[in-house]
Amino acid sequence: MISSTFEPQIKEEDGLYIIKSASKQPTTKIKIQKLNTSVSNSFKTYAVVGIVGVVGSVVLTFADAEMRTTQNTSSSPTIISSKRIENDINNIHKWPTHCQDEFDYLSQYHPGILVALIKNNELEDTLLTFAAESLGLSKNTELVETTLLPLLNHQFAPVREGAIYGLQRHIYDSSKILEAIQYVTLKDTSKGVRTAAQDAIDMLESV
Amino acid sequence: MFIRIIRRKSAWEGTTPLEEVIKMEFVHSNGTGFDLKPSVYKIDSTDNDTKRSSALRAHTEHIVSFLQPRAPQKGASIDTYFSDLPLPEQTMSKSLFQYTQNSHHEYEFSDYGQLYNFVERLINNKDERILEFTRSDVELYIKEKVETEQNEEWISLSSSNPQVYLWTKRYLRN
Repeated sequence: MISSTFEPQIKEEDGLYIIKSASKQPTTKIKIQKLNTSVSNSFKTYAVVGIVGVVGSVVLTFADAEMRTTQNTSSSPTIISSKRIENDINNIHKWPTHCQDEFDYLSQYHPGILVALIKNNELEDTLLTFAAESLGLSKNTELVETTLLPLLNHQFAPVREGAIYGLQRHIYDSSKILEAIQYVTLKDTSKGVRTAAQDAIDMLESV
Repeated sequence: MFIRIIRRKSAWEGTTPLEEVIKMEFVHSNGTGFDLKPSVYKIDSTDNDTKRSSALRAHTEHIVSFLQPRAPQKGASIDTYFSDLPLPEQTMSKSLFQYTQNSHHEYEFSDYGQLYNFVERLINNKDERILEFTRSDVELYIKEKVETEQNEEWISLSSSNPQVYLWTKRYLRN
């Protein structure tokens, strides 16, 4: 068993480490690899190497870690500390349900988690629109572009509008985003979405 | 009239189910449920032109106080006044500007049903109630305050408050 001073507890079981959530989340299984070598001060470090199940926001914390691990396959795996897990879980549990403040937090500290929420159909459309807007706060233009451009074709107009709001922060840095938003100004069926897109273009032109 | 800043313009086009409009426009951002005390700004002016310019003032001051310069504009407000409903109560606001501090009010609904009826009536009259403001409207308003009028409050805030400074810097470059 991995010693852990916080709730939720992490236990080893059948080669997997199981996170038992303290409150609302069901038990979640993730696969993490213990790294013996790097024991820093008071807490041990582990690398997340895969996800067994996706249940609620806790596991998505590790989806974020996994995503970055995957992106860094040529170098060392992403290492997260038990302290980091504790902080992440405590932070995410601050919100009783998925909400805008949570999305803003995730976009800045765990954009990969937010991407997972958006891509895995975890959110109702009325939340997806705000998740899309919040993802724009991430500084990773490529991540924003690949995640939000498909949402410009979403059937629910407020989701498309939210995607515009997220994308517009990156309009300076991506010609693909600019072209997509220009297209929306002409073709979207919703006037609200078109005017949001036009405002984004105007913002660019006012610089 | 009492205007409320809209979060999603496309939600007010009549094609979105009422329950979904409420989930987007009348919920707390921290996930604690429906906002039964929605904020509005009181606009006292009577004729339409003055109403619109006062509404633009409240809209712009709200944006500059609470949104970053590169954030979405939330380019519309909606007039929420109904003569047969209790008037909203004047309440404190964290706006940086005196006018929007003084004009900030809140409705108080006892339950979701009251909120639902209120939003239903808003949607039924949406065409007469929605005031759209483009980014250019906001930009021109700020330019007028800072450059043309040399408005004391704006000048003072733009030199003392980083948020207002960024907004004015952004628009005064042109």
